[in-house]
Amino acid sequence: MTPTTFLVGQLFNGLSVSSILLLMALGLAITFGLMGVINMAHGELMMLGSYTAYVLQNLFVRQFGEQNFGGYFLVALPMSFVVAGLMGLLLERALIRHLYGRPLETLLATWGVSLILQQAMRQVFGANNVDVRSPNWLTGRWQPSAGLEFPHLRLFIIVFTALAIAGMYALLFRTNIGLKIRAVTQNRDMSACLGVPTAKVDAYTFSLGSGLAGVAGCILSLMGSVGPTTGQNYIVDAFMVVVLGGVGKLAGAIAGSFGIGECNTLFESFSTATMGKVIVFTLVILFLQWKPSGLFPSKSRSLD
Amino acid sequence: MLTTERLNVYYGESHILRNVSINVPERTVVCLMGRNGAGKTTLLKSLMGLLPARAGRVTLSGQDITRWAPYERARRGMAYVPQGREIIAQLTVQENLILGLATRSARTREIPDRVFQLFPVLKTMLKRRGGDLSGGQQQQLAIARALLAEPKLLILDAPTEGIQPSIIDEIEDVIARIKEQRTMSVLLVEQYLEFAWRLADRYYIMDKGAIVAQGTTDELSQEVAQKHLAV
Amino acid sequence: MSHRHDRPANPGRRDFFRKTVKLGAGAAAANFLPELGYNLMPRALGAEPVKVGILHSLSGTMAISETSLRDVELMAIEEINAKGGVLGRKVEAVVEDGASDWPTFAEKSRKLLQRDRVCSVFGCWTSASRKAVLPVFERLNGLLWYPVQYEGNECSHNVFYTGAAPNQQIGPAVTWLLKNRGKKFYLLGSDYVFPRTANLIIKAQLKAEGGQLVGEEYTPLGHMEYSTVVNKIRAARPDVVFSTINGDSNVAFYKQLRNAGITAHDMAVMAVSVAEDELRGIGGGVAEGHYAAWNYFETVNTPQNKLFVDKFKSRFGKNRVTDDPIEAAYFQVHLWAQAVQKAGATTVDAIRKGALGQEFQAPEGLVRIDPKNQHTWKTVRIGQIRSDGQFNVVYATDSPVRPQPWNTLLYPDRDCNWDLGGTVTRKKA
Repeated sequence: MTPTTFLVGQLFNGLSVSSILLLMALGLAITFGLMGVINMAHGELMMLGSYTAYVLQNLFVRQFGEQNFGGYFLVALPMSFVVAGLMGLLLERALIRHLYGRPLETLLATWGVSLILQQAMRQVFGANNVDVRSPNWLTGRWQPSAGLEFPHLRLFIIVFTALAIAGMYALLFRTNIGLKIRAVTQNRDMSACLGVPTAKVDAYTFSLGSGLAGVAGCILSLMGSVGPTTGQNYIVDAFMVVVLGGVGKLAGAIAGSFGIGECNTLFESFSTATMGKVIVFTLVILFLQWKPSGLFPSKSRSLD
Repeated sequence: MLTTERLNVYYGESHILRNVSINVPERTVVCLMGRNGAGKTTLLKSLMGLLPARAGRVTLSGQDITRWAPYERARRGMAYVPQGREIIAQLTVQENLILGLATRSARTREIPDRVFQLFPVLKTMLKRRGGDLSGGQQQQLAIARALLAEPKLLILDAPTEGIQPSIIDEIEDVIARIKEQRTMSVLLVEQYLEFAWRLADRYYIMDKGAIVAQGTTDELSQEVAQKHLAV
Repeated sequence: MSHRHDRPANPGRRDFFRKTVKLGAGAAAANFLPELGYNLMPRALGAEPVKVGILHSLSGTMAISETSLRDVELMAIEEINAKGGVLGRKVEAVVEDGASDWPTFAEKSRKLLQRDRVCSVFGCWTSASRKAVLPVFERLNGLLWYPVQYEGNECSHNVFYTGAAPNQQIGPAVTWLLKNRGKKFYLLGSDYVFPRTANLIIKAQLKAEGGQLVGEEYTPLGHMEYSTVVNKIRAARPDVVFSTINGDSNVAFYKQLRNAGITAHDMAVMAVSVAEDELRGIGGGVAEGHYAAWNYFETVNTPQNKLFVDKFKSRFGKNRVTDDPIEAAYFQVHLWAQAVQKAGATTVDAIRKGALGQEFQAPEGLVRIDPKNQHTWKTVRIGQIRSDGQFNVVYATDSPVRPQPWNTLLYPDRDCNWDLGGTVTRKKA
């Protein structure tokens, strides 16, 4: 393996890591970024998506046999959105709407919710990790040249994340509901006075962010572990991306994830995984000291 | 059409509105006057449901709306142009206008042309961000946005405050035209006495959170105005 | 998990009085009528049960692994009770939850020793939890039975180590890899004490036995992104990756390694923290062909193991699997019972003495407590992962290997010998 192929491989890995980070942070960019809800159960909503993939995989294996279960993943993607989205809706209606504008209480309450969801999964699926397998069509690799291998799964995640971002932009900037979401998050009272049912929009928005978390969890189940505590592995990174990017801006989350993803892989290639993380964290902290509102500061009033 | 009966409103523990009873009849222009801090804006906010009433009643066309949420009041025909305009700054002019259609049940994004007849300047800046407009342009946008809902009652809070004179004239023309067409009622808070005099059919004067004088503008004497409004 | 265990309520005053009287009567009867049989008498009179503690994480991140140990320890106690208990008395377990939190472990062990007055505690998994309770056991003179392989370098008079010392797992694995898979080693571990200590040993051994180190890398606990590590491994071209990765990261590592197209055929991974229980979550297919070194696998072919596995599955469900720490947790309870039986008393000092040299036909084969260092003689095995998440045993030592808590390459002059008072400096021969 030549140094060039190593470097090209690393650039690709950086892109892949960035898209994974973005996928994790996308839902949070909505619930925390736009709405200002510090949702400590975001990781657990991702976990719900992972378990949805697990359940559907088992159903498909039973139905179509060990060889042809791969189609489950196409069903699991929308289903994980629905499952996590419904859980988000329930959470917003039952709990979070009573806590708007009270970040500390929200933090504590949603942390409690995360523990409840973890324990619920333990009761239903057991304390052990469960096994989610990649469908066959995602296990291959693309070899552009000798020594370079781009796994289909990572390519799929990059493409999917790009599509998800495009979809989010279309929803927020091309549709009426998107307009209402932006209006409510920027000026709740005035939107209400214009006839926008703010409570309903809040619920939809939170549910949308939760659903996206579910989809992220579904996809990440092919990369990592699926267990009751899976969500804890992702939540810090997700918050870091949104905070670095600048709360309230989708573009911020995109820039944040690419900054962290590429830097992390770069530093990791020259040092170690632990050191890479330490350097990235340090840089993020220094950057936020310098620009506390992140890469894309927003004048949004949502956090007033 | 809109009436309040002995309305009492608090900010926390401080008692702001005391037994306020007003009536805005159909197709009339009512002006609410008073010195700074008299409670005018608080009354409008509570009419829109942004501040809860601790006691008293608000009715719209005979229906008790005291406990309704703001968006429900908007859907029943109340439109509000608040003090400071409250243009949604990150949204474009066009998007702000589309929000004015939010009360309509149809999912339309089509902005009717009449609005641009009233405020031609808006047509030229549809893609600009609301926050980038001048104060006068924002005021026009806010009124246009309110009119798009085709309300039964238009509530205007200090529409001329801090606005350049040429635009004040345009705004006055628009309100005058509404009055002429008699398609809706207008409740207007105004400091600028002449402006109110020319437009309003009836007036209320507030002081320290209570109504202290009322009547038709024709009857509004210099003395009364002097007594309650002079600084 | 919130399984509640029947635990005696705080004895009220009257209750306490009643028990004391019975105990006294039993002892008196035994004294006056020795010929009636020491063993029968107290039971007939309802003697006080022998209390032991079970201290594992039943909640938190470690609950994944440790709840199984609690289950199987309770199962062993039940077996002992079914055969009449020890010294004719029933064994009663007091179960406490360490909650994956090291101070909680220390606090609960103090509670077990002082309030419940248990004569032994079966417990712990992580080295951090063991280090946290160690001072408590030493100060209060308790006995901890610790069933998990660990990094060595410890020699406590108050612990019986029934999992592997490094020379009973890591050392033989390195030797076997050098002989069968190649010289070039890449060391990959989670970033905490066990992997770093283990890798010190491995590096010393590579030097001594002619291996070559081509890379060493640590990832934070819970690390999920292995693309860069995989790329580095690919660039370093090792014959073997020796993995001391722990926990969830294993899933990510094996999945991403397989995704990058690296199979066991190209390059073998030898793991010392991946057992059957972890493989259920990784999916055997992903890790197929790679290796793990342990003393026990579920597929070990002994009559004792067949019975053990059948019993375990019928009791806890067909989907549950046994593995090395589970097996050690099981047999250590039986070793303890034999020790008590031999001691004829339930004081800590008597049990310790009774345990030295104790042997048991465990599922993994014969195990024996070393009379000098309180570790356990065990057979060393290497298993190759099958697609169903079980192992084919590809290597096993002929007989149990003597445990060496102090690695002979790193600490050639140290030894653990309680005949001589604990850790001693060996005189140069």
